[in-house]
Amino acid sequence: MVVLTGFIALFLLLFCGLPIAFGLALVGFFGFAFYSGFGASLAMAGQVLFDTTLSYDLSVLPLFILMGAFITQSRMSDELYAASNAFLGHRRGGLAMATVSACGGFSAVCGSSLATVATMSKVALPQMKRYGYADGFAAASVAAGGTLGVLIPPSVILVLYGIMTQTDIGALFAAGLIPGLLGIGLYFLAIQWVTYRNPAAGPPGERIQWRDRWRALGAVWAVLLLFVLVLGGIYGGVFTPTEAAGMGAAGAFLIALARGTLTWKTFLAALVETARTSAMMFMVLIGAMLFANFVNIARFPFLLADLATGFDLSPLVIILVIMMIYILLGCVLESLSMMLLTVPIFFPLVVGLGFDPVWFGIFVVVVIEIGLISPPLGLNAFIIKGMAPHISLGNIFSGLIPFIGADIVRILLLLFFPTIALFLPRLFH
Amino acid sequence: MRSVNATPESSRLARLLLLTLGSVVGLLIFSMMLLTFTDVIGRYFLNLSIRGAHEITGVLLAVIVFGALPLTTAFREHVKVSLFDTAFRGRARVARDVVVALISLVTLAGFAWLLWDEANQLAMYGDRSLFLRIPYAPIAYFMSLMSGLAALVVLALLVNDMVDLVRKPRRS
Repeated sequence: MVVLTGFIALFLLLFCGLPIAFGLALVGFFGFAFYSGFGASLAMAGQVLFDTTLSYDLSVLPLFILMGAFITQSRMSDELYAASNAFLGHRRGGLAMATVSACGGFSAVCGSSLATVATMSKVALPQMKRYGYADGFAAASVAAGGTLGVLIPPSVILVLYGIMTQTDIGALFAAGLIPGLLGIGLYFLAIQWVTYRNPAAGPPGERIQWRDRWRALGAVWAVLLLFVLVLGGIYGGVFTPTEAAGMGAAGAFLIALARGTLTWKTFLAALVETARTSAMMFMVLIGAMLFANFVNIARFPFLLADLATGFDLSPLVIILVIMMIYILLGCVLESLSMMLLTVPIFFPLVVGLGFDPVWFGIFVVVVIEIGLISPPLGLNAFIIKGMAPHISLGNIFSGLIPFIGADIVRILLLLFFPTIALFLPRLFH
Repeated sequence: MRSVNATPESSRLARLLLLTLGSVVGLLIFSMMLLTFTDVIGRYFLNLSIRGAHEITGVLLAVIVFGALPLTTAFREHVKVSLFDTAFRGRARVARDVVVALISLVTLAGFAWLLWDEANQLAMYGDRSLFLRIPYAPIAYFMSLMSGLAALVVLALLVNDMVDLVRKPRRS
C-alpha cells in the first residue's frame, strides 16, 4: 500500500515537471523513513549520496561520454556516411540503409542516441532529399538508426544496468553485439519492405566502383580501429570496462586532434558538456538508488513475486506483462530514468523466475529503444523535427511504423531464442 | 540532456563563477582520462602502474559530478517529464513553476545538509582511503557546498523567471 502511494506521489511530482532525479530522491527518502524512521533514512541517504559518486568503477560513465563528445567533435559523421553509402547507396532504399548503418556505427562509438540523431540528420537528410526520398521515410531512417547505439556496445545504459544489478559489464557488452547487428539487419528488411510497397519512396543512387569503395572505407579506419580496440579489449579480457573507456576517450581525443577539428574552445566545450551530462546522469542514479532502497525495504519485489505465483502465471506471461509495462512507461518517461526506476523492481522477480540477468539487461534495453521512436514521446522523432522543421511529426511517426515493427520482431526473437544474446558472453567468459 | 547554448540568464559575476567552475571541472575530467590512459599503458606495456590510480579516479569522479551539479542546474539540464507541460497555462503554469522550483530547492538543500552531516562524521572518525590515505571529509564538505550552490542556482533562476514575468507579462 505504501509503495503504491509512493508510486502515485512520484508520478504526480514527475508529471508536474519536477526533475526525475529529485522526485525519485524525495519519494525514496520519505518512503524509507516510513519503514525505518527518519534517523535511519537520513543516515541511509547521506551514505548513498557520498558513496555513489566516490567510486572507481563508475568513472566508466564520464569516460564513455567523453569519448562520444570527442567523436562528435571530430566530425567523422560525413566520412562514415560516405563509406556506408559507397557500399549500399546503389540499391533501392540504399541511402536509407546507408543511413541506418552509419547511424549504427556512429552511435556505437558515440554512445548517445540524441547526439547521433542530431549529427546524422545533418549529413543524411540532405542526401536523401537530393535523391528524392520521401520525407517521412528519410527522417524515420535517421530516428530509427539513432536507437541502435543504445544497445551496440559500448553502451552507457548497459553500464548503468550493470551497476544497478551488479551484473558483469563485460558480459553485457558481449551480449549486446549480436542483437545490435540483428537490429541493423531487421531495419534493412523494414526499408526493403517500404521500398517494395512504394519504390518512389527510396529510389536507388549511383553505383560506386570498388576502388572508390575501399577508399571511402579507408577514410574511417580510425573510428573502426577505436571500436575494435575498445570492444576487443573488453571481450579479450585485456581491459576492464573503465580502462577501455579511458583508452577510448584518449583515442577519440587523438582522432579529433589529428583531424584538426579541435580548438581550445571546442575542446573545453566537449569537456564541460561531458561534466554536465555526467552530473545529470549521476543525479538520476542517486535518486534511483534512494528509491530502490525504499522499494526494497518495503519488500515490494517479493510481493510482486508472491502475486505472480499466486496467480500461477507462467514466466513467459510475466515477461510479456513486464514488456507491456515498459512500452507504456516509455510513452511518458525518458529511457535512462525509466530503466533506473524499474530495474530494481523487476530484476529480483525476473531472475527468481530463472531468466539470465545478462539476457534481461539486453531485453530491457531493446524494449526501451522502442520508446525512443514510438509516439507520442519518441524523443528521436522530436530531435529530427527540431533539425528539419519542414517535416511534420505525424509524417515522421508514420514513417517509423515499419521500424517499430522490426523492433517488435527483434524482441520476439530475443524472447524465443535467448541464445542471440547469450552466445557471445558464454563464448568469452 | 538537451544542450543549451545560451548562457543562463544571470549576472556577470554568476556567469564568471559558472565559467570558472566549468573549466576546472572540465580539466579534471581530462586529467581523469589521462590518468586512466597512462595507468593502462604503464601497466601493460611498461610493467609500471601508478600507485593508487583507482583511488584518485574515484575521488576525481566525486569532485567532477558534484562540481558540475550547479552547471547542470543552471542550464536546466535535469531530465524531466515534459509530456504534460501544455496542460499548465497562464497562472497555473506560474504556480507550477514556483512549486517545482521550491521542491527542487529543498531537495538540493537537503543534499547539502545530508552531505555536511556525513562530512562531519567522516572528519570525526578520520576516515581515509585505504592506500593513499586521502582524507574523505574534505571531499564530502566540497560535495555539500556544491549541492548548496546548486540550490542557490535554482533560487536565482526562479527569481530571474519571476522578474521576467513581471516585466513582460503573458509572454508564454
